[in-house]
Amino acid sequence: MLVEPRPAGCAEILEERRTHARRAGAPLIILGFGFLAAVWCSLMVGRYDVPLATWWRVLVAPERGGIAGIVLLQVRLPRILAGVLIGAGLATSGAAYQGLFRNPMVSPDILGASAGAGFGAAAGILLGFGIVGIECMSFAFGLAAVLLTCAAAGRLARSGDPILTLVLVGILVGSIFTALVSLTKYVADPYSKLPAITFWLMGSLAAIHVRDVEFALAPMLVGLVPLVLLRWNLNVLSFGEEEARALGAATGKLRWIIIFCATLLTVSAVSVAGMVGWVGLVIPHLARMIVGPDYRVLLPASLLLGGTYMLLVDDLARSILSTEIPLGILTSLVGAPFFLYLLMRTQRGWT
Amino acid sequence: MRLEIERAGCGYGGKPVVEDVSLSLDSGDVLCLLGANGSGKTTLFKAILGLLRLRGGRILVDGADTASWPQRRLARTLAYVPQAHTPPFPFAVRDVVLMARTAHLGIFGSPSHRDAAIAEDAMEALGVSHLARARYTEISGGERQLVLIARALAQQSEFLIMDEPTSNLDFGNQVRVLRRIKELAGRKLGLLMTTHFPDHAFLCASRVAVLKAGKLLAMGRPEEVITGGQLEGAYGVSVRVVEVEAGLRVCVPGMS
Repeated sequence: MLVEPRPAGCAEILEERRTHARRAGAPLIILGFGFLAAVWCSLMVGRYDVPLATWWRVLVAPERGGIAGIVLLQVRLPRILAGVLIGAGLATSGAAYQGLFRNPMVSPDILGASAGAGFGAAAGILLGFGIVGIECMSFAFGLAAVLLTCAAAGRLARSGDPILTLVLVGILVGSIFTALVSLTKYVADPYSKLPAITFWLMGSLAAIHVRDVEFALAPMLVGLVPLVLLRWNLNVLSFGEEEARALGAATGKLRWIIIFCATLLTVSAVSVAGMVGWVGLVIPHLARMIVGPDYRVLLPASLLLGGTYMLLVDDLARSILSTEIPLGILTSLVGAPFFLYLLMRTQRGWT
Repeated sequence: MRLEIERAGCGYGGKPVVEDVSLSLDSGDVLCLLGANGSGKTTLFKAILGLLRLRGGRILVDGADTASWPQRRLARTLAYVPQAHTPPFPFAVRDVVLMARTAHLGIFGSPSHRDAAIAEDAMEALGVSHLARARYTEISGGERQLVLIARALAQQSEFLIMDEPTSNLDFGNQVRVLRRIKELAGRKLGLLMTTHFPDHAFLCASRVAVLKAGKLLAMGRPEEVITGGQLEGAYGVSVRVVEVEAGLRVCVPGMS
């Protein structure tokens, strides 16, 4: 023992540490309240007006809710749950990927997950599958795309930077699947299937059903829980492969666990809601600006902010026009300029 | 404790970079590794730290071969001090130092208050406590190097492997870092460092090794190894070693 810890009871240090804990905790509590407000807001917003009093009635006795009960419990609530899962999932996986790849410009589709999932769904629609079939196809191809990326990168990475190899192979695999999506669209029936594919690729929560939430819940949790548990290691990994290993992190194992979990999150989100861009890039950034780069706080903050952001964007999607706007269009329309604003406002670059 | 590098060989791809190098280092020693750019110093360090597989030879800690040690155990014995760098995210200095505790945590673990206290003591020892809340990306190069040494100290390893700790620093910061290195040796840590300045070896090393083209040219006490002839052999320029006063030597390069 070269550096002995100070004897406990040193009041000043303890006090200092308590303030530190408070500083880290306070933003999370505020974000938590923001999230709850967004949930409340999403329950209220919609074509069908439900007064607060009706709400309690529906919650207390769901079987006697009438139209309000159907609107709230079968339309809005599943949609809110799905929005939260998808937003939180995409933001968390984006934050994890950014740390792992040591680059704040990385988004969850870096390894080809979205492109693969998009092709799976397009192919499912082309083959006339039902909604569950389409979701399964999307899920399978999203995972397959990432596995392909990892396998090819693994063969190439014997000598050289494993992370850079992964990113480059990810771009290649992504573009192959994007080309396959175009091919699917080209051969699809232009009157029935082509519109369906196009609409799905734009991303939407409009067709969300309780079953979709059930479909996505398990893989989402399998992806989220390990990432939240590994948040300290994400700090260490963002110092680079060699330094992290010299600090004692089992980088090889960690890298695959994190890639697997982040991919699972992305693919489950895309398979249920279609292509919803920019969330995984913008939200971790915003979170980093609010709470700093420490993943112990950043990861839960991204999770909360992602859920909040997705709910608010979805509220916009279903309320600005009389017809619903596909979510993917809005996340890009809102996300990209917002990102630009964040960059200009801080003038610190990626902090 | 004793760190031994026994006939080590390593390299990248098909190309050997280091061949048949043997060094040893005891607690309290400062072993300074000299050699021209590309002579294999960094490659040898990577092999010692378990980042690069050995082609031949062994790395021993108190006689035990480290080849089969998991990264965690290796990190508890050998701490690495890289050259001051810029990570992609603006971590607070205290969090950078706290990263040293990773080798003492489980895979799902986060540092405890005890870990935070160890990190604070390490910052205190290197005189960087006042920077605890500053962003690591915004402090000066000299401060970053001291923070990285504090991090290695917080790792509570027996040996510190330092890659050119005085490079890219101004004169004052070089001296400050060298003083800290001597202090650490006084705390019975074993230090292995590379430097581009033979003068620095005179100032703080107890032993010196010279690498040339991946092979060991010489090893011994500074005044034995750092001579005009050896330096000319290692760097290809003529150098005079002048004794300024008893026990204080400096290197003066010939300019013609």
